[in-house]
Amino acid sequence: MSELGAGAELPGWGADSRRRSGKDGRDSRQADIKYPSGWNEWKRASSKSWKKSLKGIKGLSSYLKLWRHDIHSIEGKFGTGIKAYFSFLRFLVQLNFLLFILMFSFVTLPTVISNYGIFNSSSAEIFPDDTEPYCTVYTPTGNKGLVYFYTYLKDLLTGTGFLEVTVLFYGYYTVDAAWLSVLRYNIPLAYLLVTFAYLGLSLLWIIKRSVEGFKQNLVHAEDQFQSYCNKVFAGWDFCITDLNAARLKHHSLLYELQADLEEERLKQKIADRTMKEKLRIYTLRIFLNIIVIAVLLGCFYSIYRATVFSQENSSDVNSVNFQANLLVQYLPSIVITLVNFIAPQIFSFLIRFEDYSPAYEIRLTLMRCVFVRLANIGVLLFSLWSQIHCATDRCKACGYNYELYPCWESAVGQEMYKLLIFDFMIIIAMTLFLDFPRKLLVTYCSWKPVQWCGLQEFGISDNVLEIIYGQTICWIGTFFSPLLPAIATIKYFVIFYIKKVSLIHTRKPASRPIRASSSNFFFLVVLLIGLILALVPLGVSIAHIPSSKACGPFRSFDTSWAIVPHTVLGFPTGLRKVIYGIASEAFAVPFFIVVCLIMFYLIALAGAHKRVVEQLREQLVMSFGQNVIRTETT
Amino acid sequence: MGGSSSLLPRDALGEYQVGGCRVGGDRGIGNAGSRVWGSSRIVGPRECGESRAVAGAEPLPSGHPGLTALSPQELTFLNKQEILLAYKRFSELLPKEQRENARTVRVPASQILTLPELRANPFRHRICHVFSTSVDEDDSMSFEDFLDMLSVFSDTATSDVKSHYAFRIFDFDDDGTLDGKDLEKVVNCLTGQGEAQLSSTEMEQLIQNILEESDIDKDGTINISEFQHVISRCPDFVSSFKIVL
Repeated sequence: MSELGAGAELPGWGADSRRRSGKDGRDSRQADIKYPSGWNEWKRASSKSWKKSLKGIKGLSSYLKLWRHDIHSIEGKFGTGIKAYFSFLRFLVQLNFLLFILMFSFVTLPTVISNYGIFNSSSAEIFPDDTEPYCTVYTPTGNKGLVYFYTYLKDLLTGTGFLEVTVLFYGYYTVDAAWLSVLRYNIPLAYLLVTFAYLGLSLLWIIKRSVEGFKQNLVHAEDQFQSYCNKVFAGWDFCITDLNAARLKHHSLLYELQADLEEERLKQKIADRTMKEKLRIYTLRIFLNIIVIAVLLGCFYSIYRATVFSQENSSDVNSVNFQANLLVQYLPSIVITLVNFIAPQIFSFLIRFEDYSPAYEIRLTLMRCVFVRLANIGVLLFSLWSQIHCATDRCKACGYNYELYPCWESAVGQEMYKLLIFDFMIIIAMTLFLDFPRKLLVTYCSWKPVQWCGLQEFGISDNVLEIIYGQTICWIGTFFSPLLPAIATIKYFVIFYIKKVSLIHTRKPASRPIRASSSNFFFLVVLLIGLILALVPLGVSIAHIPSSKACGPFRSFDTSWAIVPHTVLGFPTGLRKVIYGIASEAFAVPFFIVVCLIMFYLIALAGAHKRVVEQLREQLVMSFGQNVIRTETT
Repeated sequence: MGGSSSLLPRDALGEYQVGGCRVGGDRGIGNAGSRVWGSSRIVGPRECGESRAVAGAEPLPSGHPGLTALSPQELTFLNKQEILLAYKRFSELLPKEQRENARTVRVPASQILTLPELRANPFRHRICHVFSTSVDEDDSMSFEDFLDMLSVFSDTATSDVKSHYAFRIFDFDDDGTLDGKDLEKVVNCLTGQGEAQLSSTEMEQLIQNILEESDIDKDGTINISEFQHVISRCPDFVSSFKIVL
């Protein structure tokens, strides 16, 4: 082998590269000869070997990265916009896995171990004096005796029955403290802290990822002054190897360029609009927006009715009528999915009459869809809480509707569990029973209308909204159902393959692809909105709604948050004083002022940088001008 | 791994470690007339200056320590696996009897264009033309040229290198500036040869807009620095100017 290699040809190569190295190479060589220093030599060698080993490690670790090869080949085939979606999916798998590890190791594992009596543990049995005894009655409807096999299936799908009092739901975690010899592991406190930790961790990770894109957006803000250059010079995605995808890309580029030119003409037209036309368009827009709001309200109301109906009827129906009960249980999920499907169609139909520019049209429709998706979850939770909260006297004693919900946290957990499972089933079913037959039809049937319909497009924004919706559910649900991240991890893992199959085999790439640079940022911003939306219901249920007295880790406290003041009371006096100090106004007001000052400073700094950039740009133009003058005079 | 490394001996890799830094100043000399940018070929990463200095010293014996200290990663933007893969793909383009000496044989342009990575690319002829160092102007490629190309289109190549080559690819008449005709050809490549095309008024308006945006000195053409300035403010460029082998 070595005969083939260096020995024979190396001098040739050496001479070759010497010839190539040219003038500047010689200069640097001379510089090297002038200052031969052992220290420099060593420094260079060591830095080189360090870089080499670093690269080696990087290369190795890239092998361990999940789906490295799949994402690579998708990028190669369909371009960077679609790749962005798949790497976003991978990010969610990693995030959920981390959340699962966190929840499992700090909450589930200690509880399970102490339940099996390996540690000495104590259940929370101390009740506040004013608790009515009937608040603490919790008899889960576990399956007793002989049951039909499909009951298990139903339980698996709805999270009731044998699943209700398992590690999956809040109600199971009744252990108050685990004793490891003398160390006391406070499980309720851990439960609350882990909840904060997973929310904080998600926030940090999203921000860390989006900072990259944000920086890019800020520095290279895609200014309108060079949108045509961007489209022409960076328009072709050199990764594309699929001929079909290339044809689509040609089409989309042509379409985009034409649309831009058209838009420019439209802008001209808008500027020339008469007063009367303006008036007409604005009234039309107001009218259409009222319709949009009406549609939204209709959606929300139907979700509310469905949830109330489902909650009132699911508990009293026995397992006699299996299908009906399952349908009632899943009614909110079904209605939400329907709304998610229908509302965007209505919006994209209505937007045509509003006479916006094409780019704005897409953005507005997208924003409306995001709003519908995330608001639906909010409405569902709101209707659940309107059920949990009640105003009668007996309710007042416990603080929640104990008759319907002896353990309301578990009920919310079940609802979230159902949503997640149903969403998953819908995604699988869409691919299996809709896309796949359609593909077969299009391939093997030459009937005109079928061919005209063609294949469904793989729309990135729809798909992203779909998974962000799932992630928001997961964030909300993890407090009530600690192992939900594990289910979400599996779900996204499977979805990756389903989407891959659907992309390659059953769907065609979208004719208007989304750009990689803007999409990465856009995904994360919507995800951030989802996270913030998840914070609201969680905050309300932790701090405001009385915790169940019959189940869960917080049954000896008024609310879940009450454990924090309780813990602080147990601290040594010095530490307690510090914490009280931080929480007091005397600290908060100055702190707020300082933060404001820092913010103003940064804003001013950003403004200054902007001006510097502008000046530099002017200088550049000037130097070009001078160059021209110089070449003209000579 | 073992299989592919047997195709390209490890010692030979060591040579690319030197030869890989192919910043060849005089490389384009054979056809210098048409190669305006041939004199400043930049393919490898930063340390090129250093390694060139090493390589350019006295003819080195094969076991010279200076050689073994260098790695292929430092000289092209590719890592070891990528170079081995490139070698494998390159030799597959050759007829069986020539595979033995794949490192010296040139592959004709028609063969190169059959690569799936280039097949769908509307600029494939330009890419072949720009990276070929053939004296006969037939756009054939040697393995070095092939590595050059992959290095420029790799993930890690800097934006400067990429935009430099992009300029040359878009410069259809090789005259060192992008004028209206070049731009028209670029746009036609982008929109494809299908039945739908931009109308001539649209094309005119488009070229006008492009020049308005990028032609800072208002001479009606885009030169390399203007082009690089535009590209530097174009966030999608680096991620899309990439070929994945």
